[in-house]
Amino acid sequence: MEGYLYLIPLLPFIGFLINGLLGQKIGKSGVFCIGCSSIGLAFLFSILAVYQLACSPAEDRLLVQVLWSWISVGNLNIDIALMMDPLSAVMILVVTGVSFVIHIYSTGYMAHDEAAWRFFSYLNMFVFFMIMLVLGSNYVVMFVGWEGVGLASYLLIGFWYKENVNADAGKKAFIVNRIGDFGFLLGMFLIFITFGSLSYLDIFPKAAHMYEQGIMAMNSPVMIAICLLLFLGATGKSAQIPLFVWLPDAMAGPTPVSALIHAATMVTAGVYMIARTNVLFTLAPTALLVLVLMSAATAFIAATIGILQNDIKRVLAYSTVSQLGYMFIGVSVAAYGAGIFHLMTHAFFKACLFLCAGSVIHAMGGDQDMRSMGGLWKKIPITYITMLFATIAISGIPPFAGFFSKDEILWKAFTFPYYPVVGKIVWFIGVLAAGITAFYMFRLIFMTFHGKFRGTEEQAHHLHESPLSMTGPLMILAFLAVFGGWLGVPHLIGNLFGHVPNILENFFEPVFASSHEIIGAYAGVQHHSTVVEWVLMAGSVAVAIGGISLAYHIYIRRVDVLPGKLAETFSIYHRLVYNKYWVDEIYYYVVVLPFYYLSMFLWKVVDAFIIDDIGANGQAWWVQRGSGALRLVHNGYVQTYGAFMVLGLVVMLWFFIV
Amino acid sequence: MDLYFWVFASMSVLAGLFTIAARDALPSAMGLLTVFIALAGLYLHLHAPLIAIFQVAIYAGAILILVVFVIMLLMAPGERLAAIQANVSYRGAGALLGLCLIGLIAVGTKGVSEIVSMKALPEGFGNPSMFGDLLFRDFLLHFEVVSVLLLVALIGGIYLCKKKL
Amino acid sequence: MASLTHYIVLSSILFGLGTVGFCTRRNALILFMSIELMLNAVNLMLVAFSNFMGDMAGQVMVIFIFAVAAAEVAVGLAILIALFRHVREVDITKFNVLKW
Repeated sequence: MEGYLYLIPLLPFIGFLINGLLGQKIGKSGVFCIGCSSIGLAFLFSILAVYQLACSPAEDRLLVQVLWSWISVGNLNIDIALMMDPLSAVMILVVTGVSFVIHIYSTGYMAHDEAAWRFFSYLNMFVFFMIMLVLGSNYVVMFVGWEGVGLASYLLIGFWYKENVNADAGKKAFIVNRIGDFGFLLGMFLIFITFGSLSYLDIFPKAAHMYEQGIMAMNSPVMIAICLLLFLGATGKSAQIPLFVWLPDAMAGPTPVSALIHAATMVTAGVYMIARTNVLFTLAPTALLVLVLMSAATAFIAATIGILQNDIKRVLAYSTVSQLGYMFIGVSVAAYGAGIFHLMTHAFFKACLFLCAGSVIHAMGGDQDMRSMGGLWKKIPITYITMLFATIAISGIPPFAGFFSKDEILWKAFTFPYYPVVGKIVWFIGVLAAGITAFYMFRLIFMTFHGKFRGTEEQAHHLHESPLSMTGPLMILAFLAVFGGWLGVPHLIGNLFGHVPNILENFFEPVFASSHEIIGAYAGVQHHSTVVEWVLMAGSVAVAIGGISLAYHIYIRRVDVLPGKLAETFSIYHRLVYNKYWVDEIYYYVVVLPFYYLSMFLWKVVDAFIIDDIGANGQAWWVQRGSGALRLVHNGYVQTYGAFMVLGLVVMLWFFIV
Repeated sequence: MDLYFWVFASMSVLAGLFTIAARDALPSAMGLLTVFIALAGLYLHLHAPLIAIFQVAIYAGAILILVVFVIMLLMAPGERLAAIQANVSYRGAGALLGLCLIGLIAVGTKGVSEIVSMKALPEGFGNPSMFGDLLFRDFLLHFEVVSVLLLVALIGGIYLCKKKL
Repeated sequence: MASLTHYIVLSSILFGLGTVGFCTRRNALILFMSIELMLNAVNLMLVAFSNFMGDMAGQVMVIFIFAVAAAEVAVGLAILIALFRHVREVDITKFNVLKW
């Protein structure tokens, strides 16, 4: 299968070209067919590749295919090469699988849109770049994919470009992303300088070797710099503080886009990147400290903003930012496997949530405001049930998927080997955020599906269940949201049921082995009491149930009175949170406006005045004036000319004689 | 005290002054004639008899005659130039510079005579035969070129005097 | 015996006089005569150097200058006459059309 790895990205690329160039000619059904089948085939090939990987013994799980040599200058040798190891295997399955499901959903959702061919071609292009990102075997191929998915995101957010709002949202996403990419690039340059190569197979063994031989100490400044720069890139792509502001606005795109790109795949690229670079991060505990604090802050703050949003997709967007914060907590306490596990379960339930939201919006005829919904569970039962399952999963109730992954992250945070105290603080913040997550997710369910319908008459008539092309994917994803977590059953619970292994952790073993060795050597082998683990697990479940019941109390029992009264009592906090802490406004005044004035200055003063008027036009003006003055010498009299001749003669003689 | 030199030198300078300062054209031409003759005398003193003869024959006898003819043709007697001064500044500057020129050259060539001492002149220096040797042997090409030059001048003169140019 | 310096000074005086006359006078014919004066000054210098350096080439050069001077006077006067037919003036300050 090694020689066929290139087919996995190639098929979506061909789909992109056919849909893009011939999409308008082959008709809607042709577009749907090409779009879905290219991803479906890519998914099949990924399954085959992963199967081959799984069949090999544990140490040998690596497939590499070098396609061609791209740049070869001096010491810099960059190949277009694809690599599949357990980490990218899991990622590729998630990417192609969820993409396939969402493509099928899109055939229903975009059935009435005339630019569907453009949609599917962009979507295929996105999948192609995401696959390149995940399968790349060096940082440059990853960066190509990184930029490509940013481009696809821009095109898809601004898909209905005729509205200014959508185009602006696309621009915002792309520009904020680029700021992060600056960090990524600098990190890549530093990596190249330090290790002499950009390929994973060269860097990570060399880093571990350098540490073991004592050439490079733990926590060296170079390592910290590299990790912090790479993290900056990750904050841009994965919407962490300070660069998360683009994700809520990105909801201007069609719902399948939000589901695929801004829930399941693109925003997880940052997590994947850090998991891939696990060795370097493990060697820089200070960087991990910074990461863990920032991601905990993100998880908490985004959760608080989600409490008060009224647009159904915005709630989910802030939820995504918060859950990404969880994933980053996972990788920044050196629990890389846990972070990727949560990435996987999050892809399932968040994609399901977004697609259900799309189904609700479809039923409501395009209205996204939850204040005009209510009591929909009778009219769109399938959507209701799948959304309910996904919501229970995200709240972290066992035995649904979200519980296992979230709990593992919280436990690993509690037992952070490098900074135990910080780990416990982060655990506490994580639990709080989990409670808040449960609260606002169930608030969403209750406001949308329960209670009285608050919309208009014609909306009430329009309510109908979505077609099978839309509900089918919902059911598939809900199934995965329920049972997907059982791939990573922790040892504690697994031993209860008779040696159920933690499949995912074993699968990831070779990828994170050197990191675990380094931690083990540095911080010593840690023993944690199982009692504490049980107590913490029970605690997080209790907090989740508490959040759910609070939401029930406010939005079902006392829905007429309580929300309004609470808003009045805590009006300052209400306003602060409702306006998302005024982040966008702060960025506008602190960052955007100074840049705007600076560029106006550079344009009007430096460019137009100094360079043009003085430099270019000014010279011409001087020459004109000068020659205008000089020409007056030619007054037509021979004697004038004779006088000048004698002047020249005198000057020359003066030079030689005096 | 080379009397010969001083007589002819002062004659030429005074005549030159008269040439440029005379009010009418014809007296100015007479002054020029005097300059030519003075210079011819100086050439004789400088062992260049052929040059002296040519000076008188060509300059005084041909060129000056031509100038006098043109004066007679163009200027009616009694005609005075109007007193309007145009272009004074440049002309004044030119005159001043001319004086500077004299001063510069005079000052600049101060020590020349110590460097160039009088050599013993070879036998027959300045003789026409020696002159002819040089002219028709070493300087033959120059001679031919000058004859072409004269031809060109001739043609030019004829052309310029057509009735309708 | 007058040394070379005397001849050089004399020649330069004559040249300077010619220049001053050229720059100062408005009558075209006197202008021509000043030019002739300058040419003669150069001739004198050449003959003087030829004499004091014992080289006849100076005198040969003077012959050529004669020829050139003659040609120049002929053509110049022809031009002057042609101009005179149009302008009826010998005041050269009237000939200032070729200007800026």
